[in-house]
Amino acid sequence: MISTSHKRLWVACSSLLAVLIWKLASHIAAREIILPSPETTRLSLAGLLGKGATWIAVGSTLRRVLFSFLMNIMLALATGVASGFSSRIYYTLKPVITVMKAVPTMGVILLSLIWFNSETAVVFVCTLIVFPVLYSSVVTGIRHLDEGLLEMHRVFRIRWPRTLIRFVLPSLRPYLISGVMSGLGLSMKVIIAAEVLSQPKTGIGTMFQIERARLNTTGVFAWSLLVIILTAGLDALFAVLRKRYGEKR
Amino acid sequence: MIHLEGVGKRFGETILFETLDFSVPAGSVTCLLGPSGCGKTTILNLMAGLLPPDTGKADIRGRFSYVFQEARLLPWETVRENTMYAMDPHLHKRERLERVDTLLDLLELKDAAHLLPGQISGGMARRTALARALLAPHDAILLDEPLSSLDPDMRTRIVELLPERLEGKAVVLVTHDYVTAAALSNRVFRLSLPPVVIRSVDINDLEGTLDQIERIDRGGSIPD
Repeated sequence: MISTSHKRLWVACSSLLAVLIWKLASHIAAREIILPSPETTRLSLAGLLGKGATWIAVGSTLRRVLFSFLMNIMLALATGVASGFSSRIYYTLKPVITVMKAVPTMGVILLSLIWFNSETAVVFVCTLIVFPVLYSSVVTGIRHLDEGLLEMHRVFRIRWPRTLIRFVLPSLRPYLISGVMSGLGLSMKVIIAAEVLSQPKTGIGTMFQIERARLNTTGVFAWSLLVIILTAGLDALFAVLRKRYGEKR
Repeated sequence: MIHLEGVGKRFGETILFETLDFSVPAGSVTCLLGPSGCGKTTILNLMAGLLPPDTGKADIRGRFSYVFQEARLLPWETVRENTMYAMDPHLHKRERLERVDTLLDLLELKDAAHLLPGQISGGMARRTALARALLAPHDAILLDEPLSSLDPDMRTRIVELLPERLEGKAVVLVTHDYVTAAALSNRVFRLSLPPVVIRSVDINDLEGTLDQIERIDRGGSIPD
């Protein structure tokens, strides 16, 4: 293990190297419309941050991300716990999950645009992509429940609400944490991709599409940078919440 | 209370029992002795309904309590929470707390009541599991080496408090310990190595039987 200050040093060096490569590449490309330089991107980002419309777009996207993510967690918990305990439910859901995992994202986005309004379409697409990931981690968690403790619950005839709240859910915690870590970033990407195509009134994806239509590559870069910062922020927020509430025991 | 009728059980190639008939009536403390690997825990699991018999019938009535060979505590709940875990939820909370605290006190767990299983010794975890089993509503109780890994003083103390707590129940006790077996049981049975045959043991001959079993466990020859 390396110390925290060393970790920071490595991260800083690697980021600096990435920016240098970016700078060099943009120098070689020599045209802002192909590859904007870090400086112009930074200026463009600063410009974005000053605009109210930016924050409205960010707010709408974050609202969609959090809403669909929470919904997916609940859904995955309910179905995952049921499938983990009952192989009948597991095999009934198996083809559905397989289709969800295999279906091409773009095809689903286009279809859902035909079927739903843009707001619903975005959440629907996110569910289709993110739900199977969360569902699989819940099922894996149930499969790895402590056999001895399960027997203890059977012998003492502990009722299922107690079993669920005090044994099953706490046992699932590590699986849920890894599910949340990967699922949150994935939701962000999928939601933005769906917004690009479905064009809701406000949203980061909509802004991407506007910048692209204007051939403003710098704007696309600035928005990408903002998304990266937002995702890192969400991760950090989750890490703090986890430290404060998750690991009390 | 517990009737195993013509129960057969095998694990892979090994035949554990061909036809096992065994009953434990309410109010009896039945002690099972036998060398390691002779299926004592399997018999307890058959009785608890955790293991289905391959043939024959396990006729089990009433509620069971079980002190497993391992403590089997919830790692994120405190000693007190674990102790109360299997208690009758219809009991008044004050009543429940009172019973728990009395027992925790008797078992010298009071100072550890707020600790998690990962923070206590193996002996304390063992006592917590015993407390949980004693407080769970039950008609029959299965005790798999309940006093192993406890120091002699604690053992004596528990042996003294158990008869009162086990009164009227069907009790099955698996132990290697002479003091526990002699003090608690009113029927003693001895299991042979598989395929298992169960023979009644005269309580006066307990010491001799335990000696023999110990010799078998150390790799000695198998008598009779």
